[in-house]
Amino acid sequence: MPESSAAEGIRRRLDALWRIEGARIVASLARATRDVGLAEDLAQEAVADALAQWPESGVPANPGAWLTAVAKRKAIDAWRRAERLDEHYRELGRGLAEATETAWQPVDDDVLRLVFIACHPVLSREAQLALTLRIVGGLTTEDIARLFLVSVPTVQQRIVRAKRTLAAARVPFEPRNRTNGASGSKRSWPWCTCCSPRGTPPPPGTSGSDRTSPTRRCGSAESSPGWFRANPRPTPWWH
Amino acid sequence: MKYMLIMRSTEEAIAASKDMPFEEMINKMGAYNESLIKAGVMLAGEGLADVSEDANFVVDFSEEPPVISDGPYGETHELFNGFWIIQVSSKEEAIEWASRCPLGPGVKLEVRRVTEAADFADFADNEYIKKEEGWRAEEEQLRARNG
Repeated sequence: MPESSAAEGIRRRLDALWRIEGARIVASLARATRDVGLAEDLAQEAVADALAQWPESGVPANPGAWLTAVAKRKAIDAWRRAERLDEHYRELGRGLAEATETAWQPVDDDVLRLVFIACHPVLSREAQLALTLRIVGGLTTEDIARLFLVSVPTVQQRIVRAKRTLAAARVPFEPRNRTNGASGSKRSWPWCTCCSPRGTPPPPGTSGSDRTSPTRRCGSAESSPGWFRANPRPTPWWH
Repeated sequence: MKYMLIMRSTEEAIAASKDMPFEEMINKMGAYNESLIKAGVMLAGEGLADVSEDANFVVDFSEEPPVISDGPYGETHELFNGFWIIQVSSKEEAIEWASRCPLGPGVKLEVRRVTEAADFADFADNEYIKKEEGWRAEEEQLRARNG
């Protein structure tokens, strides 16, 4: 069935909203659920709900808060079903009570934690890149496939495997102390070459010429053509 | 895609802004600019000095050589007061960013797409078109190197 023009407009607006707010939404969900893979899945389900409901109900005044609240509700439902209600429900209940439309205050630190998790040393470089571009950069798997000249299923596999690896390794939603990473082995904490915040110095031992200098977050190829033209294969600093 | 956000204010809005505490405006705009920079979409942004300043002038090309006069005064109902240039992936993304600008009644943002190399594809062999590609590529590389 062809999409109505209202639905098409909503979809385009959701794409734009996701690009701008997506990482913060996933990050605040990950803070509540302590599971980055689950957070991303829930956020995507909330987006699907928005696509279904907003053409009728209209776009809410604070779309980011709406998506976060819906995703948190889904998390509660899932946990009820899994009968692990007590500890998580308390935390989420607290979170939901705070998350009124006007009171949503995403914590930028949460996005930073997300970056550290997506770049965790337990993941291969391909997995780190795919996961970071997906959940921090908000790129679609099609965008990522095009950038790295691989197929879409390959990117999907990398992301699925990355999430499984993180879950299996029980990676916590808290950043490691950065100084731990700087001492010793080359496979210590990698500096995320895609998304390191501007002005934040790289760990000791990094030379200026090794560090690709991210001037922007990982937008789509259309929004950061210059960065990707200059750095088609970002090289982590330890190589 | 590149968009220019062109800020236009009525005289009433400009007069009203003189009553607002200036530091409050700086803080609001600063927070907005920070969000554009953090999102990686900001390419440029400047505010324009008050129209009453002697530094400003108008160049009128209806004669040759063109006529220089003080101004602009009076003729403009919605004065161009400042701009941003942002790089985004879609018109909808530009709409989102423009909607978040902390402006008030009497101020509009006229948002225009900025032309790029593809718009001049028919003239791709032209010497200056080619030179311009080179200038822009150099500038991108300098940006990328200096962060």
